[in-house]
Amino acid sequence: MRKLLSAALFRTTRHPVFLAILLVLPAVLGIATGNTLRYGVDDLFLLPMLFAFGAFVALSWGREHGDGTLRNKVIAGYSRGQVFFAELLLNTALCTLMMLIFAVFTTVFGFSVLGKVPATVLLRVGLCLLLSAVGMGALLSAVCCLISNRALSAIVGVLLVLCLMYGATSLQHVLEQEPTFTMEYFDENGEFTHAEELENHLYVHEPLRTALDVANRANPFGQLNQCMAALSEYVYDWGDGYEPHYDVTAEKAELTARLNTLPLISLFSTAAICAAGWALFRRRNLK
Amino acid sequence: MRNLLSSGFSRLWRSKLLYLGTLAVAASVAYTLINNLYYKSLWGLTDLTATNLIFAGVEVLPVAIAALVALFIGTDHGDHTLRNKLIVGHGRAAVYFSNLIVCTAAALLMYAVGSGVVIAIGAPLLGGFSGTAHVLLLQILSSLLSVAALAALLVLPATLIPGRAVSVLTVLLLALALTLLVTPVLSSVLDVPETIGGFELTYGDGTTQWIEEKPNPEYLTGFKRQTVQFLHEFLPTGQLAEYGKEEARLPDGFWRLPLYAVLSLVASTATGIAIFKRQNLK
Repeated sequence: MRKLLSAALFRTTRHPVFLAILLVLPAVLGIATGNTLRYGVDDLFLLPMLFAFGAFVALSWGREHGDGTLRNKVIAGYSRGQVFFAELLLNTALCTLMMLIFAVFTTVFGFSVLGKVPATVLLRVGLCLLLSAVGMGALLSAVCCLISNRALSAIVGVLLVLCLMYGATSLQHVLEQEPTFTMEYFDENGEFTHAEELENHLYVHEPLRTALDVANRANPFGQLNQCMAALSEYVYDWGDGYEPHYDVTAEKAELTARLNTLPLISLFSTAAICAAGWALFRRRNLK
Repeated sequence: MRNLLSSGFSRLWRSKLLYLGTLAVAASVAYTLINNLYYKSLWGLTDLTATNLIFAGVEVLPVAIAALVALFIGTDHGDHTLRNKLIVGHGRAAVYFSNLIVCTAAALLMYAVGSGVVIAIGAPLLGGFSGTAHVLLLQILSSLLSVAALAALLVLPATLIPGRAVSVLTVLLLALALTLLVTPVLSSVLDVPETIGGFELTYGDGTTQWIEEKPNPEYLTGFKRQTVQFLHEFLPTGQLAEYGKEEARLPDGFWRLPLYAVLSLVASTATGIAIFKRQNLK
């Protein structure tokens, strides 16, 4: 296993494209995020990072399949489990390293804004970000290991990230709905007449609500969304003369409390993904 | 050239990816339509019109075009048929043009199917198109130019990168970057209001607060604004986004978008051919 890891690491660090994706891209995106934090926390620059994860893992597995080295490793006496977990470990570790580089550069270049956030919250957000990178790396590895065509693997890797993003955004939209909403009525002169409390048909009731919430938090992109939501609550600048129209302290406490359970859900979902990936890889015909 | 086109189209019609991509574009338009009709049924209103949908409802289009272009030309590289075409006497420019024409035809087909869904189902359900017929026709024709320019932009890296997987990734990431990053960022920079404030804020307890109007420091002016606007309108995804806006009904500078589409198409094709002529085909 150690030899497999060492060989895979050597192969990766020798390739200039892989090294550029691994070291340069997260640093550039981290600097861009840090410099734009004063306009608000956004996952805008995280998206290219996640596409880079998809590209990196797809190319890594694709090369193993394309060169036939997976088969060679099995012939040389390594079990399929060892081959799978060595590749999965390396991909996951490198995705986490990319996220770490991104987080460090974001913190350094956005320190004037992030300095306002309590250290405990920052640490929790940082931990959740790293665990979401672990989950994303594991999921991409588990899917890409099953596709022997390198080009197809690349398409699937990138489209999987896109699907996770749309899935998380849609779930977030559904879960953010309030049970009721206020409809305001105006007369023909534009004057306010009355308001009426109406039931929101988009609100999802229990037990489906809990199921959707767990699905959202198990999705690595959903985890990132929740980190961003918690962070933006702390760094939002209400400006001179403006006053928040809701209880900010309670909102901060709720969002931070959600970060406490997030690592556990993340670990469980990653373990489940790894197990499913391994089960499928064991039955895979290595041509 | 005729033989190249004939073989190219013959491959295209047999490509499963063409039908999958077309289906994905049609499904994406149908999803946007159903989603908005659902909102309309709940609250009796929707901010979507059939005219918006025909131009803006094809978010999947760049990704579908990218996947098709990358795999179509990537197969030519992978099977070494590009080199074979040169050996039998076709010029490099003819090979590039034939691939460009075939991929553009596929992109236009995907766009036409997406628009067909809007015209056949969306327009009756959303209450017809807004604006006059000749303006709409002009916009549809101009948007076809933008789709062709987008295909030409994606054919460039697909032809020049020999490795199939790297080519697929590059083309796909370029399409995603243009759709999800560059165009939204440029658009949001241009949409920043010139002033902020100037309204009365009403709180839940009934108290009000007047917010003074002042110039917005984030509003771009002069050369910076012109540069950002040029970049936004020069990119095909920016042009498609502009057609989807309600205020884009024949604005003062409407001629710019089709002109930029033609310029973008010519620029990417000329660059592609110039580099492809010097490329070493292994």
